Amino acid sequence: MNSRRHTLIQLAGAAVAAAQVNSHPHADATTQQPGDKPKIDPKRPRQRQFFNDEEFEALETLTEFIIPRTDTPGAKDAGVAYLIDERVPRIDRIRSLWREGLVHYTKLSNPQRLELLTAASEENGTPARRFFDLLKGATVDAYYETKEGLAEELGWHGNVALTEFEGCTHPEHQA
Amino acid sequence: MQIKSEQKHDVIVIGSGAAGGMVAWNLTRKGISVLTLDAGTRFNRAKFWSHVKPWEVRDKLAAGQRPPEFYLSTKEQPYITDPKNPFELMRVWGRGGKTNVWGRVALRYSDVDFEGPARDGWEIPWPIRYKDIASYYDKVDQLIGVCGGDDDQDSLPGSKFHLPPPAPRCGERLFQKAAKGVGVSIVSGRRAVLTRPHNGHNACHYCGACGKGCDVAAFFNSSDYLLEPAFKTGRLQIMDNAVVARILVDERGLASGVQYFDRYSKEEHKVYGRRVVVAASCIDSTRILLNSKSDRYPNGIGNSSDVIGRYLTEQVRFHIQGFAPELIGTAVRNDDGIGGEHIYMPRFNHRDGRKRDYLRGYGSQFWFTGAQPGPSWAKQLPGFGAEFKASVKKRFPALLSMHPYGEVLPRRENRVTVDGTPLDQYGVPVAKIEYNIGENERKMVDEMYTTAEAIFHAAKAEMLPYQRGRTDVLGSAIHEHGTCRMGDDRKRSALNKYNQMHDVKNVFVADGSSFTTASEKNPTLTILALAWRASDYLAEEIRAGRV
Repeated sequence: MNSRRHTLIQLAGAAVAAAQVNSHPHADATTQQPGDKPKIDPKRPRQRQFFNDEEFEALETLTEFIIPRTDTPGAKDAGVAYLIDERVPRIDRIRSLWREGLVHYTKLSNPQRLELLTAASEENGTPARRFFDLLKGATVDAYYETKEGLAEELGWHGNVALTEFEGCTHPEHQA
Repeated sequence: MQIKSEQKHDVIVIGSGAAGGMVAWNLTRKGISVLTLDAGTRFNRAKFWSHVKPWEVRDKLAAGQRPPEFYLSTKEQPYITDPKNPFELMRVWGRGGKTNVWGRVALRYSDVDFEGPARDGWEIPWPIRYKDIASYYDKVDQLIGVCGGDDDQDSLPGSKFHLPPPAPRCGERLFQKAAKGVGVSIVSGRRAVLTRPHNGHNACHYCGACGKGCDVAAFFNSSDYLLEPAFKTGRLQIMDNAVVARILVDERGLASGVQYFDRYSKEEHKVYGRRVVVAASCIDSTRILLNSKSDRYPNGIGNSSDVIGRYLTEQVRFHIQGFAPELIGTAVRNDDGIGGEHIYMPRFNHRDGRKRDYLRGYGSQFWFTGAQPGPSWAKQLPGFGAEFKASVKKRFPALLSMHPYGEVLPRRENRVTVDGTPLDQYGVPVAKIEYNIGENERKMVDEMYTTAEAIFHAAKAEMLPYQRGRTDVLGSAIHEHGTCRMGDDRKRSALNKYNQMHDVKNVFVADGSSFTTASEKNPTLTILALAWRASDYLAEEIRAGRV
């Protein structure tokens, strides 16, 4: 919502990850050795950190129910379940929310899952609805920051250098 | 281990943000030597993540890269706040401080602000008026570069020196149109972003990622705009990673130097100087002053009035959003602009005999309007599936986002203390912040909602769910003020109108803690103007041999 706060949250997440990489207090975040190339592998295999096979299979299906593939990529194409898996906070209460929510879906067929999810989305204040909100929120946050969600689906094409900013050119929008 | 330096500096400045940077710049160009103590180091602009796309973050982190750590963690430097009613404190330890990542909203205070307390009698009056600071606003605008319109108002003084304002986005035009329909003016924003090259600094390239730090320094930051020129005089020395604990006092009761600890080795150091300027940002400055206890100053240096630490004020704000019908389903435009809003709603509640049952006023910002990355509002749309996905896409270009800010009255019980608080890693008591809003703010917030609703209604906007009366976490405006306030009455204020301590004439406090009231406006431009004015006065006092 607040772009500054959004950045803070991103950075906070980054700091946690970074702390695992390098915990030396003098480590300068911004210093790299000359010649260091960023070691980014876009095809880096996705590895799971938290959910077991059964949970993950259900999670991936559920995220795809929330944001399915249409003429643009869906949650599964964007790897949303992996992103959620990486980000489940190391807080017991949150971890059990995910586990206790997913357990109702793991043993079901996909049509049964869809039925249960639809029912949950129409309830109010129940644990099933709270899990639905948790799932939907995490799916939305993850999907719309992937290239598939933000650029391909929504059409965002910002964060580029421009010489001038055109702004609104519609006479009908003027006061 | 204790390390002493016998050298006696002309002036020691604590902090290098807007206030400390300005003091260092102004004094050094006048021939006075300055030692600046900064709690961090210089941020490396070449390594900012300004052009890292949201989807690239994960892989960069996995590759061991990290963005600059601007924000101080509470693990490293805690503060005490009531978990049930928390005060959110954002601190940047490092050269330039919070100006590396500030919101860049550069509004002049008007006499509607400066005369507020004198008019309504709530707490002490400001010792200055607009005429005392107007020429400094002019000079600051020229020095740092502020873009904006010539659509000034009684509550928002104009400037002859504005750079051209950026064109409004579609949603901002629609906001202006809707507000006009209900008798409210929304003007061009005043932002310290360079829409043209200025004083050797680069112009903005409209990438919109200012919150991650600007890779070309196209908005004012104290490090590039003040400290670098100050270095060129040969009279500025900066001590990095110097976490200041206390101001030292001599037998005459004057400041004689500063005790600090190395941020990482934790070694204790003492440096000596003839004058000390405190500019560590409101809460940290207050902590330093209160911890500077001696026989002469048992409750903190310069605190015979017992006002230091008290009257903490911030602003109360909330966020309210909807969608413009004209923009739903339209082609997505690049709405980055100068990052954050191009418009501003100045205070108007004092005009036209408007009745109100509260004191002071509010204005509004509009950041995040348009097609902005991170559409977390999407989870508030109903349902799921293909229809949900399509409804997010349609609304993505159409977001209207409003953020009203209201003044919080200064209250004696809203305070920072250090008595009996836990010690930090250097053995120095941490700050405890007790802060709440009251009936006045709740009434104002109610009217802020009414105004916002009227504007959204006139825009025929489809609203996202909101709860009337709800406010953002206290402290989240990051505009702390008032804990070392200026005033003419030395029994009720700590500083005179030149930011000089009433009790200790060779100590100046130059940051937001010196403000008598918070106003509804973003304070940085006023901090810069006051710090320039204070350091002019200090230079004159030095020349005259009075300090």
